[in-house]
Amino acid sequence: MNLNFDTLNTNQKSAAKWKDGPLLVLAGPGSGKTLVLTLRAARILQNDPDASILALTFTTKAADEMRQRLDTFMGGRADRARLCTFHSFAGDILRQHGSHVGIQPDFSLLANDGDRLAVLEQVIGSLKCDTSTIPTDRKSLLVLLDHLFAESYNGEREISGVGGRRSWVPSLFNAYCKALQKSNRLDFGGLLHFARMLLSTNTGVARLTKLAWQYICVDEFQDTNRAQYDLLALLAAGERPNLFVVADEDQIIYQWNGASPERLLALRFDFGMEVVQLPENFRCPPIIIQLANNLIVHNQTRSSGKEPLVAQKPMSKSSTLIAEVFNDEDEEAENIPAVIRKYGWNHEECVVIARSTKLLERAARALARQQITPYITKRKTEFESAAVHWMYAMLRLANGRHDRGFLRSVCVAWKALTGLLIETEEVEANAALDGGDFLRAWVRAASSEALSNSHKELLSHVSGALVERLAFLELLEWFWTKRWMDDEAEQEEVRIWRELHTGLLREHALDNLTLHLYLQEMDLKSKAPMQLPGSVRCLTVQGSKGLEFKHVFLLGMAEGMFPSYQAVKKGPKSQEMEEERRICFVAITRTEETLNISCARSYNGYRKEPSRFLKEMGFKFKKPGG
Amino acid sequence: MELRRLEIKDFRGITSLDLELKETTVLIGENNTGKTAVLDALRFALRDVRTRRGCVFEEYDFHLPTATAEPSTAPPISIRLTFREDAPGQWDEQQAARLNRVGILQVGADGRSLVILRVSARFNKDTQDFIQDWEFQNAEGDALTGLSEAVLGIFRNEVSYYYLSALRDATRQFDSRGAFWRPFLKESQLTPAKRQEIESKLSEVNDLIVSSHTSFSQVVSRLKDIQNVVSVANDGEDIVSVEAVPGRIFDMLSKAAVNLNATTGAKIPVGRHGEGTQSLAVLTLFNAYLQAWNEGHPIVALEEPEAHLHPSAVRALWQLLERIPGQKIVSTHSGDLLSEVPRTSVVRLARKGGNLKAWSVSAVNLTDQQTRQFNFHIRHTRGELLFARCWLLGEGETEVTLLPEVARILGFNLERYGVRCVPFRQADIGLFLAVADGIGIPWVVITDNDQEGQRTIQKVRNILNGRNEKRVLQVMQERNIEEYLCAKGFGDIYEKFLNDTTRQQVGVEKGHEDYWPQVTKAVGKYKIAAIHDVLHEMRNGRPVPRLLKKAVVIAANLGKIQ
Repeated sequence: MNLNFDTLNTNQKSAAKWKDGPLLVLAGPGSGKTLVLTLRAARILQNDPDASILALTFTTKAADEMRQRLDTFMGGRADRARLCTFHSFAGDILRQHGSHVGIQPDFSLLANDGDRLAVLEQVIGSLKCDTSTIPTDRKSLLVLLDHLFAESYNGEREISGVGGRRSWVPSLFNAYCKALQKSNRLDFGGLLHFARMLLSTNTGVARLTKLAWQYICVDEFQDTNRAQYDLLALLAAGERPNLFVVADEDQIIYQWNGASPERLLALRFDFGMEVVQLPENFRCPPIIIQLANNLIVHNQTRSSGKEPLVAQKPMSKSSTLIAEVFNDEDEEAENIPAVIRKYGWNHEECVVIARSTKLLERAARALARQQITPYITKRKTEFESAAVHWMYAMLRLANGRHDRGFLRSVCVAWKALTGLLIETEEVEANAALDGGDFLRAWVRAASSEALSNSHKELLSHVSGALVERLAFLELLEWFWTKRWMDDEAEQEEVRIWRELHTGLLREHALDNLTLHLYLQEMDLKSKAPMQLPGSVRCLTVQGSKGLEFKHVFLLGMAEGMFPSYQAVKKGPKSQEMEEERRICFVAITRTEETLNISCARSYNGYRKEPSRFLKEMGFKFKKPGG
Repeated sequence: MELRRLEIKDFRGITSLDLELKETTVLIGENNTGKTAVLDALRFALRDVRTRRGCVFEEYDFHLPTATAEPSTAPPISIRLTFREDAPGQWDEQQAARLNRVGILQVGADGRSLVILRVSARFNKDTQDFIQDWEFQNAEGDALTGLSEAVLGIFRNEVSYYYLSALRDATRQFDSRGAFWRPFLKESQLTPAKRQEIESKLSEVNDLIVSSHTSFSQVVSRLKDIQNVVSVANDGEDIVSVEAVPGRIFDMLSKAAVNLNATTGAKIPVGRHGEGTQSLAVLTLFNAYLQAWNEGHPIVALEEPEAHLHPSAVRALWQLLERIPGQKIVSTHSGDLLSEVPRTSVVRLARKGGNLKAWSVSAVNLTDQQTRQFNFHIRHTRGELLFARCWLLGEGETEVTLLPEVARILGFNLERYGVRCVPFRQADIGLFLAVADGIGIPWVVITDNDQEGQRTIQKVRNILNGRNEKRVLQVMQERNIEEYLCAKGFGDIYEKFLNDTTRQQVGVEKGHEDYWPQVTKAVGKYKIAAIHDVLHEMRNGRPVPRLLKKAVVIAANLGKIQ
């Protein structure tokens, strides 16, 4: 396919035609950066039959989008391009070379907190040091571990930041890592940790990995934490590496996850990046751009010379900005359905955005009262409807036929689906007589019970396609065409599974997908739907990142709400306040047509002042009653 | 890519074989030891197994340990190949990048890259079917996960593999469909202009032949009568044409023939020559093909390149083989070929305790002088010794002439047991024993008891390594074999060779301990003639001395028990 660069503006063109050496593309929201990134990748791949590109993204969704575009440009699957998340890439190199750091190629993922807590509990039980000072709240320990992983902590004695001055931290961290190695299971932090260890300790692997990926791109670089940055630095080592980074320092909103404005500065310093700016915005109406520019100049820690956004979208006739002040949060919430009704907006094109989930829940209730379906997204690590949950558990057992934990999950899920209890111990005992294959033994045990016809059919399909042949793709296609319980959640989850499945096939190609890889990739993905049909989505600002909506309701623009109470307490020049401002910047730049921005005079019975961000954007307020 | 290790488990007659491969590896061994199995295992792993579906292995590819064993209960076949750099960074960077991207490249502790492929087959009880499988592994032997099904094909594209079997039929190979000949015939190498030029010249030649050949024009006019019977387009002006010469390059090339000039100077098509010449022609074609078309570093397996060639041609053959590019794995039965092969390339395959084992000559620890002796006394002149199953080592020509005949008289055919009689006086008994032990050839030494013999006895004792001295070392108490024979009842034969002059040299009476030494010394120049007479007597029933008998029986047994 011929690549068309004509539709690009000058800035986009110079970025898209960039060939060698490090480049930082400072891309504002809605600046067409994904297009630029994929066009450039396609161009390099077409011009050089040996070139290879690794594009690292922050979310699987972003990677999938890019993959679709690149495949279109290339007119087929681009084999010399790997587009994936940092975690997915870390998984790749560990699968291939992990034995150098004690990780076997068939490692599995510790995706949910329950499993991680079980590992943690075991680790603490076996620690030799004084464990009395370790907090009993194990969940907070998981948060601590995540933080240590995010900061590229190596288990050394000297720790700065969160873990500091607590003597048990190094022992706990090291023992946790050892436990991961020993059980050959990795959590998200562990993936990056061991991948970084591998690349930094084994020069041979590092050399080959760099050989394999000559051009490295990073999307949404501002979201990277220290661990991801360190991994990137190992991949892009050397003189003038071909490192192409797209970032927007004004959209750093993951400081809690280790992202930071300093990292962007470090990048420019470490790699001597050339800079191209993409300030042109193709998404928002000019008035929103004005607000966004007004707001963000108040931040101090920005790159010198960062250009203000330039609106490219013409002014439209439809009303583009509504700002309102309500008496309380209920009034503010009730306003949303009223406005949607008044203008007759398509529900799926509307979004409610707030800084906190509490306000979102209130808005959701208000929408529901007016017969508008709200949809609040949460990360979901497991399928929940009985049939789908059971089928997924079966796949896990098929992939680890001797794993007691998987067997137990299958038994529990089967009880939920059929009401029949199959004892784990009994299956284990029977399996022992037959090579220890739990899957086979379980199917045999389940089949011997009195079953409904549909369950019989289900088991016979499973037995044919999973026990004997491992034809899981075929099995799933069949499984999805049936209804197993009268359960809307089941239909919904089947739909989501199919969506994730399609994305996976795009990423890996059909013949690429072993069950093992399939499960690893599925475990990395959230099983929550992006949207329910006909609903209005209610998102936190973080959840809205990378998305765009015709009509945006932004709630709770009051001091102590947005910016948050903690940020206000830290003061106007604090890092926290700057992050709040960036979060606000991200929130308003989701708008394609209408922004409804509002605050109330009181929340939870406390009086609140309008947010300073409103003033910074240029709104003027009349004194109450004035 | 460099294939450096081949491990075979439970494939045909092989239960377990671990073979180290060099740039050139020459496999030697008797018929039925497993040379063909090794080359076939390589072919399965590098060419025949393409998917996980079905099974290209046949029932008899499975190892059947006993006569009653069934393929369905046979242990699984496993063929494991290790490709490894000889030094870090040796492989082409783009190639390494490609292999790493598809997820199969590994790095050893020393920084050398490697790829490990394992192909296997087994009987599936559930489906009652043979199934095959493949996997790439890490250095620990764990299967790599997350690989595409396409990886095997991608990897095969990186390793070009060629196999030339012992059957080299020139008519088939030099056909326009022959794998090595076809590429040379491709017209795509011609530029369009050149092609047009040639075709127009062909057309001129054609016109010339047709016009000057009256019988053609008659055919044409006869055939033109067709239009009187059936109506044809174009008023039938050009409906018949005769092509004496093919008009298109494609047709021309596909008929291209290779002729070799016979001694008379006549051009004879290669397929009409003798089998030896055909075989050589195919090898040459193969070489030309690899020189012209192959990219990279192919792996070339050659089965018995010496087939149908006479000994001096075989000796010249090595120079041809050396020019074939890439890594070579050659199986041979020819001691003559071996005489030209570098010592370190030779690997001897032989059975030991029922299992096939590989002994690499490069692993034999020799001093520089011993290496020279080895090259001269074994490799160049008696390459066939390396094919033996047992060495019966005697001091000189007398022993070597005597022992096989003694065996025949006793009813043993030493050849059948793979026993070769080797004279060791020219070199050093230590060399022969080191080589024999190094490549797994059992031996028996027969020696006399003079000063030289004493040294021999000492050297043998040093290298016994737990072997029973009474079996492998046979010592004659006399100072040489002639004295021994005289002492054991064949003295009359030597006495017969005395004439008036030589009789003067015998100064003691019969019965004196110096008598036989003086007799044998006096008739020294009739030694060989005397041996023939001794053998004649033995054939006529005179008993074979015990020591000779023992040496022959032990050697035959050592050859047999493998």
